[in-house]
Amino acid sequence: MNERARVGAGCWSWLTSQRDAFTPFREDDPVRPKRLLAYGELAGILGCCLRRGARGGPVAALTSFVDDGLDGYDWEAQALRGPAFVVALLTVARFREAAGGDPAPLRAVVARHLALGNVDALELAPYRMLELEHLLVANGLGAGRRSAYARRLRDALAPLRRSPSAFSAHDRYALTHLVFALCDDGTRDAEDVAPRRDVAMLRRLVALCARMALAEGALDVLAELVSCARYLRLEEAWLTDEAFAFATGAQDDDGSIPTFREPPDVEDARFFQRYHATLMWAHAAT
Amino acid sequence: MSGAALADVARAGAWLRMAAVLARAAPPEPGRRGALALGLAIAAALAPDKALDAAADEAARALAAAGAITPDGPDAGPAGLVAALRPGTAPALDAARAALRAAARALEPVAASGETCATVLRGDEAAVTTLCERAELAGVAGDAGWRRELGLALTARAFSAARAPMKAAFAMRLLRVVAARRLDPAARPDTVAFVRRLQRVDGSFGHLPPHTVLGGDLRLAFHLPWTVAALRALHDALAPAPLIKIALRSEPSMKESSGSP
Repeated sequence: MNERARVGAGCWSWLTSQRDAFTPFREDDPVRPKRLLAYGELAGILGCCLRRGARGGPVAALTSFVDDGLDGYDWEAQALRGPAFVVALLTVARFREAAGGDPAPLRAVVARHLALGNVDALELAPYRMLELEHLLVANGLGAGRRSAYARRLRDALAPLRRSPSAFSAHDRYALTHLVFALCDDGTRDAEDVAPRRDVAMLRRLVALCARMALAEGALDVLAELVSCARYLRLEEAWLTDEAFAFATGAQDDDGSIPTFREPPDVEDARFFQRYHATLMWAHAAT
Repeated sequence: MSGAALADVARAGAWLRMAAVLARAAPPEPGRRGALALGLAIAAALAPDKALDAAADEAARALAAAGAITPDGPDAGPAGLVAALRPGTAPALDAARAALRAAARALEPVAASGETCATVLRGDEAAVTTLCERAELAGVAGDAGWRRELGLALTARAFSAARAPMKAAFAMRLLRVVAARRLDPAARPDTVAFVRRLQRVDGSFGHLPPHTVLGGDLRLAFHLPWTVAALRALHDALAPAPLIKIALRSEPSMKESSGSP
C-alpha cells in the first residue's frame, strides 16, 4: 500500500468510527453548534467524493449515515435562527442530490430566504460570499445572478492579489475555499468560470502556499492545498508524494490526523482536534 | 513597483551613510566594516547619488586598508563583491574577488530535483544555508522546470521562515538565491514586496524584540547586517545582473591564471 492509500484508508476508517461524534441532533449537547458544523463539513466532503465518482466502501457507509440523519432535523428552523445557515443548507442539499435523494425541500427553504432578500443582505467574508453564490448556482437557484457571481469573484480575488509572504493563515483558507468553489470541488476546470489570468495567479498561489504549509508542518491547510493543486491540474507528483509522506508520519495508529484547532477542555476535545484534518486528508487521498 | 523600491534603496543608503559616520568615530571590527562597504556599494549601484558614491568609495578604501580579507572561504565574499561594484578601489579587494572565484570553482553546482526541493522545504536551517551558499557560488544544474521548482521551494521556505521571530535574514538569504540564479522569474515581485515590508522608517532593516532600547552601537551590530542582507536581495531581484555574477565575471587583468590568490 502506498502512502496516499495508507493515509486515505486510515482517515476513512477513523471517520467511520466517529459517526456518533458527528451526530448533532442531541438538544442537550453543550457543543451542538460545533457538531453541526462538523456534520455539514462531512456532508460537503462526501458530496464532493460522490460527484467525482468515489462511491464505494467507507464513502457509501458514511453517506448512508449522513443521509439518514437529514430527515430527523428541522433545517428550516435552524435557518430561521440565523440566515447565514443557508450556506450549510445549500451544502447539505447538494449532498442529498449526489446521494440520490430529493433536495427540493431543502432548496425551497433557501428559495424563501432569497425571496425575502436575506441572502443578499448577508455580510460574510468575500470568499464565503463567492462560495454562497457558487452553491446557489449549483443548486439551480442562480437564475439572474450572473452579475452577482462576477462581482463576488472579483471581491474574493482582491485580497489575494499580493505577495503570499504577507498572507495570514486565514488568507490561505480563503484561497483553498475559492479554488474549491471555482473548480466545483474538482468537477470542472476553473477557467470555465474565471479569467485565465486569474486562474494562473491562483495556480501560483496554491503552489507557493502548499510548499509553505509543508515547510511549516501545517497539516490541515496542506491537505486542502493538495486537493486544490489537483483541481487546478498542477501535476506536481514529487510535492504530492512529500505531502502524503508527511501526513503518514503525523497519522495516529487509529488513522486520525491532528488539526489542533480546539482547546483541550471542550467536550469531545480529541474528536474536535482531529476531525477536520482527518476529513481533509481523506478527501485529498480519494 | 521598481521606482518605489529604488526610493527605499535610497533610504537604506542614507541610513548606511549615517552608519558610516558613526564608524568613523569608532572603527568597527572587520566583519562590520565589510558589511558597511558592501551595503554602500550596493545602494550606490542601485540608486546612484554623489554623496552615496563618495561614501561607498571611502568605505571600500577603508575595508581594503583594514586588511579584513582572508585568502579563502566566505570571508572573502563581501570584499570580493565590493571589488566587483567599486572596481579599482584597491588591489586587496581584487584579491578577495579572485578568492571568491576560486571558492566558486571548488564547489559543485546544486542539482535541481525533487529531492533537493524536499530538503529545502523540510531540511534544517544549516543544511538549507549550505545548499544556498553552493547554489549561489557554483550555480544550479537542471532543466528550466526543475529550476523553477527549486525557486518555488526556496521562496516558500523563505516566506514560512519569516513567520518565526528573527528569521527574516535567513529568509532573505533564500530569496537572494532565487533571484541571483534566476530560478523563478515570477518570484521577483514577491521578493521585492517581502523585503520592502521589513524596512524601518529610518531606512534600516531588522527588528529586535520591541522592548529593546536602540542605541548607536546596536545599530551597527544588529541593523547593519540585516540592512545589507536586504539590499543584496533587492539588488539581485532588481538589477539586470545579479551581484554574484558580476563578481565572478573575469577581468582582463585577472584571468584564470590568477584565480588562486
